[in-house]
Amino acid sequence: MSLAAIRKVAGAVFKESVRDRVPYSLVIFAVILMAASFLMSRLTAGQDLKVIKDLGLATMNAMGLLIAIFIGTGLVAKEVERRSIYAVLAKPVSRASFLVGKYAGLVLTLAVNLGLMTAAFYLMLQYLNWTTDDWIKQGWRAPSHDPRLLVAIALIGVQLMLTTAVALFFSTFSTSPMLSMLFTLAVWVAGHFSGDLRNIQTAIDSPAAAVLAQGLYYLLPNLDALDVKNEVVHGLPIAWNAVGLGVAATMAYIGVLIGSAVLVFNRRDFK
Amino acid sequence: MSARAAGIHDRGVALVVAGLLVAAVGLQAAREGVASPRADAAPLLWLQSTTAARRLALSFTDLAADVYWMRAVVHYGSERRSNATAGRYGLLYPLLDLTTTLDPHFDVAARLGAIYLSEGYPGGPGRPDQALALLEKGLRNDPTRWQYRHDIGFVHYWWLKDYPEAARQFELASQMPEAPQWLRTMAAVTLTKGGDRTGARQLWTELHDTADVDWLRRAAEFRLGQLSALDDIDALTAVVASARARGVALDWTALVRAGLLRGVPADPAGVPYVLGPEAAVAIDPASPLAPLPTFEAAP
Repeated sequence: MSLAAIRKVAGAVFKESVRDRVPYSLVIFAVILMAASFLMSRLTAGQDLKVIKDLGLATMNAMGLLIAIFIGTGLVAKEVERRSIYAVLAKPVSRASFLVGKYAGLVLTLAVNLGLMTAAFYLMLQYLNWTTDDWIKQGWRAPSHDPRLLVAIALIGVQLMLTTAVALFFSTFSTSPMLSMLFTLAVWVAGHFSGDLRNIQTAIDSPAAAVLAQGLYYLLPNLDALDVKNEVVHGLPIAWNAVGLGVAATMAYIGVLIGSAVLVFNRRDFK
Repeated sequence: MSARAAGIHDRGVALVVAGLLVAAVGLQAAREGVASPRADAAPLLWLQSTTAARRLALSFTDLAADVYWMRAVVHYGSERRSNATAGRYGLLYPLLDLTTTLDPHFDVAARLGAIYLSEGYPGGPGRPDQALALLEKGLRNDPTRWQYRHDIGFVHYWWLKDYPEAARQFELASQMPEAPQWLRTMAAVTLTKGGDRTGARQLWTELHDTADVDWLRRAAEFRLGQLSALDDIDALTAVVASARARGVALDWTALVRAGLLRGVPADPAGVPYVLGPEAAVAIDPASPLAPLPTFEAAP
C-alpha cells in the first residue's frame, strides 16, 4: 500500500464530493433545520436550549448518516458501473490503496461537512445566549456553547466513520447500490439494538438462543456506546472509560471492515 | 430562438407561473368557503408503548422526547382552552410518560408535567396520582435530584392535603445532595402549620425563588396571587362587618365614602372583589385567579 496513492485517491474522492451537490444540499438543509428549531422552541415551555441542542446534534447525525450511506455505497459501485475502475487499476495503484483512499476521502468529506454544521450550530447557540435573560441562563444545566458538545459531535464522527466502512465493505461486492444501502442501514440499526441482545435472556427461555444473542452482542458494533448526546445536553458526567473503550472497539471494527473489503476486492474479477 | 425572443418567452412563462400560483391560492380560499372545515379528529396517540418508542427512536431518543414534550405542551394548552365538558386532557399523562421514557433526564418534563397533571379540572386533569407517578419516575432516573422529592412533597401538601407525608418528603429531600437549607425548615413548617396559608405561602415563595423555568415561576406567582386574594378577602370581610355594624350601606362606593377603604378593592390580578348581598366578600368569578383554593383563615 502506498501512502501517496492513498492520498491521491482520497483527494479525488473529496474533490468529487465537493463537485457533487448532494452533501451541499444536505448541509444547507441541516442548517435550515437547526434554524427552524428557534421557531419550535416557542412550543417548549422554556426548553429552547435543550431542543436546539437536541435537534442540532440529531440533524448532524442524520445528515452525516445519509452522506455516509449514499456516497459510501457508491464509492466502488460507481467506478465499476462507469467502467472507470479499469483505468484506475491499470495505474500503479494497488487495490488496497484504492479502497483505503476511497474511505479516507469520504471520511474527509464527512469531517468537513460535520465541521460546517458544527460552526452553524455554535453560531445559533451563541445567538440564543445573547438573546436570553441572565436569570434563565442560571437554570441551564449546561452552558449554551458548552465545549462538551464537541465530544458528542466527535463521537458522531466516529459513528459515521464506522458507517462509511460498512458502506464501503458492501460496496465492494454488492452489485446493487440499493442493496448496499439497505445492508448498511441494517447494520446501523442493529448497532443501536445491540444492547437488547445482551439482555435477551430476560425475554426468551432458550439458553442456546441467549448464548447466540450474547455472541452477536459482542460481534456487532455497539453504536449506543458512542452516543453521549443525552449526557452532554443535560450536563451529566460522561463515562470516559466506557467511551474510550467504545471508540477503540469501533476503530478495531473499522479495521476489520476495511481489511475484509480489501480481501473481497482483491479477489474480484473485473474482466 | 434569438436572445430577445428567449427573454420574452421566459418572462411569459414566469407570468403564467405567477398567475397559476394566484389562481391556486384563490381556489383554495374558494374551496374553504364551500366545504366547511372538518372538525378536528379526536386526539390520537399512535405509539402508546414507551418501550417501543424508545426502540424505534434509535439514536434520536432525545429529539423524539422533545417532540412528545411539545405535543404535551400543546395538548395541555389546547385542552385548557377547550369548551368540552368531558374527556379533556386524556393524552397528557401518556405524552409525558413517553417524554420521560425517551429522555430519562428531562427533569422539566417531569416537574412541569406534574404541575399540569395536578391542576384541578377544568384547568387540568386533576390527577395528583399521575403527577406523583411521573415525579417518582424522575426520581428513579435521577436519584440524587432533591427537586423531585421536593415536588412530591408539594403534591402531597397542596393537592392531597396529606401534611405528614408532605413533611416526610421535604425531610427526605433535605437529606439529598446539594439540597438547600430551607427544606428542613419547610418540613417543620409543614408539620406544625399543615393546611394553613403561611405554610403554603412559604412553599410557593421558595418554589418561585428557585424556579429556573419561566413557566414554573409564573405558576408560583399565580398561586401566591390566590393566597394574597384570600388574605384580602379576610381583611375586607372584617371591614364590611364593621361597616354593617355602623349602618353604612354595603357597597364599595359607600365604604370608600365612609373612609373605610381608600378605593374599590381589587384582587392581585386587578379585578375588583365582589360584595354579595349577604355582605359576603368574594373574588369575581371572571378573575383569572378564580376559583380560590380553600384554606384555614390566616392567623
